[in-house]
Amino acid sequence: MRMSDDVELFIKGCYPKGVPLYRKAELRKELLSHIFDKADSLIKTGMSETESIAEAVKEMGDPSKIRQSFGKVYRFERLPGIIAFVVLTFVCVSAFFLGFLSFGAHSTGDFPTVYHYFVSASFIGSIIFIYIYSYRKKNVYLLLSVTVYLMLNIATFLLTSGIFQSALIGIGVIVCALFGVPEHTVSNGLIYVEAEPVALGFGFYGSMILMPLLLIIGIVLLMLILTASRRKRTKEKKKKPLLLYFSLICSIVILSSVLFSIAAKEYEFMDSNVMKSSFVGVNNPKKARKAYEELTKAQSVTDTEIILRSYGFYEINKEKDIMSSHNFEPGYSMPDSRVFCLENGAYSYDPLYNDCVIILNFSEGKLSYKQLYCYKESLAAFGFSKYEDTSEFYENYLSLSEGDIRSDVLKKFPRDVAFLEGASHDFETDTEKLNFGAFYSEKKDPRISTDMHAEIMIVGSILSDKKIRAYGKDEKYDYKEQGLSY
Amino acid sequence: MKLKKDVSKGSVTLMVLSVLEKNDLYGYQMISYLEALSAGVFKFNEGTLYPILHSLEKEGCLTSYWNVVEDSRPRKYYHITEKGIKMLNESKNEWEEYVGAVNAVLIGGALNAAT
Repeated sequence: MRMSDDVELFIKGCYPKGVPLYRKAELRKELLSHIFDKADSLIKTGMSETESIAEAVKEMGDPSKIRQSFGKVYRFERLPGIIAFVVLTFVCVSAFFLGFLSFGAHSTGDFPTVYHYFVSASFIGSIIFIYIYSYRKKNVYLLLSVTVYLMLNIATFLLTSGIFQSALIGIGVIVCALFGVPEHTVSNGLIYVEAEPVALGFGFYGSMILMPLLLIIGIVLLMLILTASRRKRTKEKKKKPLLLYFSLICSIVILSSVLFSIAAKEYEFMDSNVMKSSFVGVNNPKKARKAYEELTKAQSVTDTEIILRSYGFYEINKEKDIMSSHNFEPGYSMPDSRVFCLENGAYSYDPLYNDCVIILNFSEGKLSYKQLYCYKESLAAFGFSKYEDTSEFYENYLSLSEGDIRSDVLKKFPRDVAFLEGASHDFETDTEKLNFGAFYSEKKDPRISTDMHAEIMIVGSILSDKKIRAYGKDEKYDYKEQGLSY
Repeated sequence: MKLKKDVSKGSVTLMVLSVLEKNDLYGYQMISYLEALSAGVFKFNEGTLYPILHSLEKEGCLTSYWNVVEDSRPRKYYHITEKGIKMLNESKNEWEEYVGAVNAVLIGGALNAAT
């Protein structure tokens, strides 16, 4: 007997949701057998084949009622599907959660490699799981799982790239501007720019408040839609609650985002000192450049300091403030250095946490050179635009470590600018023959959109030309004696 | 005549078990028997029979098997189990008790009306 669209539609309408395919196949076979038996008997009464099939389908009754009744019978067969969905989601979340942690720890090199294996295994396991699962089950769960998987990717990207936090910081700045937060304050001899720390605080705590808020909104939305869809289903039973699925996905994604957010903060900000500072760098190259331009005109160390402070730089108290800095080796390796940071109210002079860092270095009691740390993107503001990343430079750089004349290498660059890869600290031992050196090193930090910072060195010879006098090792500034106030 | 939904609702299970007591039957056959035995009184939406059969099978009152008789299409036959027979007997007793009670009320009502 010929299958008609009516029969197909009826059979599909009888399938309870979420049951395994073999169950559906069996129901189909049994219902078809009944319809065709009935149609056969109707044909004997003189009906045409088409009419008899249509009548047989009609006498079967409302498919939605049959589906509901079957749904009650097979409600527990749906459970494995739901469990599989939960497990799959958990695996995906775990994989990215651990991936995030291992990624963050990768730069420090002290995270066990086993987590990388776990991430890989979880990922492969998820794919296999999806394959096996989709082979046997209804596709709606697969769709949900894959959607969650993809949305987690997006959520992770947004969270780790700092876009979300940056947006909040932007809101914070506007709030500060509207409520007239004082621009500068002085505390313990340090000049703080208050507006941005407040804004950053807003960004940090705001994200902690906003995320749960989104979660609550998501749950409320889910409940409302659930209630509405139930009400709707009593009226129009054939309609699928697509909004319910959508809100369910949204809630899962929001919940996952909260977990990610909390995990990121817990991991990255275990150090309370760092936590007090910003976690998204707000670079201010224009301000740094102005300061830098004036620095080249400075006639003395005093001038240098006055310029720095007038532009909002404040001096890091090494005894108190550098304890949280683990990745700023020049400052550590050079006890005779003074460090100035620009804005952000950072407790660490890592340029990842500050707009700009300037270090005055002393060698045997003399000011030997200055270093400026900023984001690579800011280098253009300082006129450093040339960068050639070739293996030749790298080879030369390696040979530099062995004591070659570095100025020869630098001469290969147009102007007096060189960008070299990797750590640049070896230059500290032989800077007198050099002019300007600018280097960058990669720092993959999930919290900021840029992953590089630059180091600019002004060597002793330049400082001598600018008549910046030697600065005694034990000499200390007495601002009151200098008649200065901040 | 078509029975009201409320009356027929609880009795379908009883009737299904009852027709299966003597022979193994498939769904369409059961409908035909029920219709013939009740002289057309028990006529309901045929599709609603299957959830009842599947439910009874899940409870262990019935078992099923696929069978092809002669050159016809494959059909799913249902067979009543010991548990099903026990359930049928209990349901029969309950039904007789219920019918007896209803009859008593009806007869009593008629007598009161006559006096």
